[in-house]
Amino acid sequence: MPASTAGGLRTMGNLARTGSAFALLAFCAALSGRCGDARAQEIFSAEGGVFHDNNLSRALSASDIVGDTALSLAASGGYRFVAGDRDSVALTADLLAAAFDRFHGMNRAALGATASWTRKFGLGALAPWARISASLADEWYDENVRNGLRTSVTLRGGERVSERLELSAGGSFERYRADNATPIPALASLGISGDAFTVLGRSLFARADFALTDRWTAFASVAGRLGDVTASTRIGPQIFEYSNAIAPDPAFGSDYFAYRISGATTWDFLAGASLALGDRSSLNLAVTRSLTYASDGIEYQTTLINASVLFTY
Amino acid sequence: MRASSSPTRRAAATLVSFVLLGWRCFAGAAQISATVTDQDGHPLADAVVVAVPLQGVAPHAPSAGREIVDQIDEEFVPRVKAILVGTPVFFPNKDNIRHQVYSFSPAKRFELPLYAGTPAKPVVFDRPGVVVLGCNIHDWMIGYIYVSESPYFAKTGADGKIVLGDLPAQTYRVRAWHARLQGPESATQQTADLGGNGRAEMSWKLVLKPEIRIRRAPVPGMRGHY
Repeated sequence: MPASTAGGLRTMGNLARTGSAFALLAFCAALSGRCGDARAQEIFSAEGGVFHDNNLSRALSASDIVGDTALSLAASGGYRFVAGDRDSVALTADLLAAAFDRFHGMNRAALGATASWTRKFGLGALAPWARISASLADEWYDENVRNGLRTSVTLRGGERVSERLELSAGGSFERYRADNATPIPALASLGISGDAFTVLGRSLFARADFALTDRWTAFASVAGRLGDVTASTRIGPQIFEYSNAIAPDPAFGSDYFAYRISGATTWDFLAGASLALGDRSSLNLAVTRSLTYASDGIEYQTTLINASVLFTY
Repeated sequence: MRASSSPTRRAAATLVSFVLLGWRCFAGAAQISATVTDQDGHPLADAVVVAVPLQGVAPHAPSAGREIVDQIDEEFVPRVKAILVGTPVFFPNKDNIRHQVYSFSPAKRFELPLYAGTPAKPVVFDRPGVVVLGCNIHDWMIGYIYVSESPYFAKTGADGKIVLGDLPAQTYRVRAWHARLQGPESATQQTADLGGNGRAEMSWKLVLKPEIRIRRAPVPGMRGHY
């Protein structure tokens, strides 16, 4: 298939997906209007902040590692339907944007939707709960080689052990389907595709939230993810050994290439603190340390520091 | 003779009446003024002061007024309410979403199934004690109903002060309660003898626990909680 035709089909696919997301939201809005008895509750949250990623390229060797700082904004709005004494359903539209200081090719915006169903197994604040959620989001980057559709399904359960401590754990399945596979002609003949940004992964995670005072909450989580990752590096022989999908990655420079590593294991260790600014807002600081391992001794590390203000309505 | 003695008797009777009336007025004017502060001396709002006659509590009918605990902006209003045992309380929901009010407290266990508006029937609080209210939909909502066994009670305002007036002139055990009180309420008990001048000034400096309530403010990563 000619590249232009493939690109056209992908563009149409994007439009269809975005249309689907809006159709879902329209359906939610219509549903909320028809559910007078269910008393749909409008929900809204917005988070603005700054984060620094010390290995944005997910590179293995020190010479290829690049870090950057970005401003971020995430907003989510929709409806929550309390369907009964134990169940609630939430449908939201989600918007996310990030603008980087140096690597503008990584600037991105995403528009998507999330549906979740929560059940409480009992009465009261200490009753255990479970939630299944599904989301999809179309992502656009300044370097559109990374554009794609992210879908995920997450199952999570938890219990508030006391007024101070809440524990939760779960698992998720995530898929990112890149729109634009850009094969390198010389490699295509060797069977190496250009679909370096399409990845699949599944994760297990556990989290604890602990109220230090009436305003301060500390939280920590650990997550293990098994699946594909995309690393970017200057061209070198090792990427041909590790990957069957390689594509130019102009976000970091004309000499950078992204390559997909399959079967990688990533451990995320997160710790953070949240200060309540009021009933509906908080100031938050979190640090995530990620360690990724794959076969043949592949290993890279990332530290992400995030400061944000979160508001909900 | 009768005509001459009658005015004297009448005068004597009037005098006795005045004395008795004065005594009754004096007895009826007995009052307790109280100030409640925290351990740092700051005035404590929403503390309940209860005076229990030493001779026991005579049966009293609950007040004829309609007692209400509202739900406004996903909070209980007022957060602390003091009532006499046996009082019915309505829980109107003034939000445009539904609430599910419940309590696990031994003094009154109840659950109002998910509702909007005002439930037709009130909840009757028929045992003295503290009833902690919650909402099953909004976990941060918390409220307290203090059910007093004595009709002589009051809740402090922002100045930490109350006046219990129109008390029969007798001796009372008086205690103070607050939602964050450290230790048992019985440890706050004091005695007030109103048989003398009918007035007592009392004060409490309560040691409070830190307030750890389920937080309403958002925490990152827990979006869409419940």
